[in-house]
Amino acid sequence: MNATDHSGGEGLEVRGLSVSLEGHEILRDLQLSVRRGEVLALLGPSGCGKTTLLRAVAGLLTADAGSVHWAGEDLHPVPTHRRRFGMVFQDHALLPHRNVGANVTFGLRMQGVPADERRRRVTEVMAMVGLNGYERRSVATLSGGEAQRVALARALAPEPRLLLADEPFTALDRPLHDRLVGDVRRILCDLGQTAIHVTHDHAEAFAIADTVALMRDGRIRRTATPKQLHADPRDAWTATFLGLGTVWQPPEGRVPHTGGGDIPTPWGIVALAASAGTEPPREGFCLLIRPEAVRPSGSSGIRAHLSDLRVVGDRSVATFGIPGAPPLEAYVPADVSAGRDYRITLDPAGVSLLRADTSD
Amino acid sequence: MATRHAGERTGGNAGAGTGRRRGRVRGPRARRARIAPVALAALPAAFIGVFFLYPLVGVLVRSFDAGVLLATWRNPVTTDVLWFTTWQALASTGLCLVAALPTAAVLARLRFRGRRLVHALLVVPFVLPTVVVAAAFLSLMDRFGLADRFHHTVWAILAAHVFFNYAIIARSVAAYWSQLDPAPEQAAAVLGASPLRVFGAVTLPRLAPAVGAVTAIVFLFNFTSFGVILILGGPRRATLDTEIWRFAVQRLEFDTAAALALLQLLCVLLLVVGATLWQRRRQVAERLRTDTARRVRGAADRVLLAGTLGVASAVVGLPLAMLVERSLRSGGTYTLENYRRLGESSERLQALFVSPLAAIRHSLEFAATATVIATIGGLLVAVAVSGRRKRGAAALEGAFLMPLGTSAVILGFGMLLVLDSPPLDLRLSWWLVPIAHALIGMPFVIRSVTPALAAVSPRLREAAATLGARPARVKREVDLPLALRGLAVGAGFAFAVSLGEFGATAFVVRPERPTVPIAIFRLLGRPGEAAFGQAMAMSVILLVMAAAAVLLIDRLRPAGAADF
Repeated sequence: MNATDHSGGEGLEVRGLSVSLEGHEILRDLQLSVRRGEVLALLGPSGCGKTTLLRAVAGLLTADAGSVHWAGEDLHPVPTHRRRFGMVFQDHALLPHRNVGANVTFGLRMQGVPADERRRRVTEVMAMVGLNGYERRSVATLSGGEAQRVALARALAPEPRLLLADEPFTALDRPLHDRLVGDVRRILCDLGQTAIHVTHDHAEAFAIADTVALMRDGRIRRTATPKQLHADPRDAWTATFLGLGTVWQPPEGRVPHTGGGDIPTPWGIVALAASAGTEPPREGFCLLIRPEAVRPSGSSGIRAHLSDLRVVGDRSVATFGIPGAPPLEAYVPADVSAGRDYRITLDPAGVSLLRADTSD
Repeated sequence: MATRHAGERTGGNAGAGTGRRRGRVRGPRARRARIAPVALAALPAAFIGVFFLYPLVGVLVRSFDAGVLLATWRNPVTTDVLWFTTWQALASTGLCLVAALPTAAVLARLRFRGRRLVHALLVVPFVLPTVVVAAAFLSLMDRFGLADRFHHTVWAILAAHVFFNYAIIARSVAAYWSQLDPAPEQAAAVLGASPLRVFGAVTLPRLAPAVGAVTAIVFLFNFTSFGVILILGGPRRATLDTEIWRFAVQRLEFDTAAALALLQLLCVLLLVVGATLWQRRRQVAERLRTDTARRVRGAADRVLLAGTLGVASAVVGLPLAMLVERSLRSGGTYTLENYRRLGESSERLQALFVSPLAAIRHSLEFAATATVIATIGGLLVAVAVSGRRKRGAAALEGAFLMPLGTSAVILGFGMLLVLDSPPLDLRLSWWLVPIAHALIGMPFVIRSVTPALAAVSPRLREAAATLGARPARVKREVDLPLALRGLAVGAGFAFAVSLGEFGATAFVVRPERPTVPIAIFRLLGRPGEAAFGQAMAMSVILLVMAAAAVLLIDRLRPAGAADF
């Protein structure tokens, strides 16, 4: 599964899309495809162009170059209101002068669906998002989570060909966020809904999507499953953005390693198995040291200072520092304490080779 | 102010708002979207062009044509009139400031029960018809036996001007003041400044832009005051505006009237330009808060509050109370006689040609028609403005607000001057009055609808579009319902303004179809107790209608919306 999927007439195809706003190039020759029934997470840092791409797909802005196709049809002459793409906005954009029910039936009304059919459909989608009986409520009385559920119901009610969600959960607090992500994942799966879900939160992207498109500086860098991305981030930027561990760049002038074998690091020699990584990069390389790799050991290894200790979930995460090297994170047993020195060793199984960051 | 806030709120994320995009625009869809708003403004533009600009040009042409221009300007009488116009305006404005600024301070700084009501009631004088104000002061003088000493003196004029403008200054300065961040004052206090020093060195300079702006407006109102001067000043107290009316309507010397009108226009232009330049120089970026007033605490606050409310009710309430009281008096006893006689069209009232009740009917018909015209025109302009970029929008809106800055007397005179020959021979037409009122009412509609439309998040329109709504449908389903409140407020103002309009009406009204203000003016010109009593009764009816309209407007107005 990658960006060069040539199923053509199946779902969404974005080819060579370029968009400039106020003189700044936001999207550059962007390629993306989404198969029918697929939930794709568009993941990238703030300002990388995710929202712009979504708006171009929805027809809310016109591209300078490139095309957007659905099922083989060029959407350029098709205005937003005839694309039949649903959209969920970050600020939910519920119409304040209409109640919940009228918001949800808005799309059906635009399609000219008869009233009794509309009522049936509203009951259906409201049940789907878990808000039965909210139809007569004013949108001003909804909580943030409820408003997003209504926005989702409104977008889904006209049975859109493609659902576009623009960071819908960003403004919500953590527990509510996690619950909604689970619910939305279930709803989209049950419907077999084709969807693009924009987020800057990798945990959210991994939880909600079959496929993740990683975006940076106006381009899709990689399209992969969450599992593939986690197992093999390939380059330093991806590993850092996904928060997979510490990325260490060897000092310049050191000969790039050409396969497995012993690599000298500030934390000692790491014996990397030849088969552990992919094809070793020829130009600059980095090491990704995952928390699983760092082992506090009793007597052997390098002396490191445990500067910080915190609890994440049910695990204790320690930060180890040694002079002249970036701090390492590690999962540690409960009996260690901050402010003391420990000896640590690196387990080669948790260390992998990455392409150094190339900024283009 | 409200507009700026809304602009900040709808700032959008990642600079992706459609309004400011620079992406290449292709296809007929995009082009049509740009042209449509301008086309919307075509109808109101034609209206303004024919009924405002054309008459204005007519006045200018007439004044240049005439050899009487220099003769009029050199006439020492003109110099006297100009001098009186200026100094009475200066004195009125100064008195207004002295009376209103302490009230503004209390309204801005103290939060008390009924504050909103006080704010709302303070608008009443602003929309009160000038003839009602003049009538109120006549009854006040009458009640206290001062008529002989003060009628037809400048004191009566100054008092009426204070009554009129006191609330404008108090309200607008209080609104600005209450939104000022108190942090600089607190910082100065921490640095060791006494409360008096803080006020003088920090608060006063910060208030200067608001005080300056409202002072300029009030001076303009006083400079172009018409009805009050005509009724309270009498024949010997003439200003430019009353002289224009006297020459045009009573003596039919249009050339002299035009020469005076040109002089008046030049003075107003000078004032507006000066005020704008001063304001631009003083402009500072203040971060405005919602409301920084504090609750009333302790005896000192209570005394201050009681004193302020006392002054406010004396300035605004006393004349109105005396008006009501006078309207209920006839032949030395309290009775409803004055109201009962409104239905009559007796010989004694022949000056009116029609019964006072008929005048009320005319006024309501004119006001309803003017409101419909102003509302439709204002809505079209507001929609056109909202579809444009910032600078173009401001220019377009400014063009349609022009009638607000022009004195009604000039407006009426211009219409009288040019709308007398085919194809625009409207001298005898019923439509002339509602058209003049609509010109004055339209800016109010624009000023209420534009901020409401600007506050509509572009996200809502986009949401409607993704749900399948055509652009026209988006306007109907999203913009229109959300702007409806603003539209109702604007329509209410247009209606109230039309009911009380006197300056322009005095020029274009048909003698047999007087409005209520015209009828009151004529009754006041009649000798005798009965006519005076009836004038008072009609004034009270007009007062009630205007006050009702204002209170209704205040209920509809969303918190923090634009003020006039």
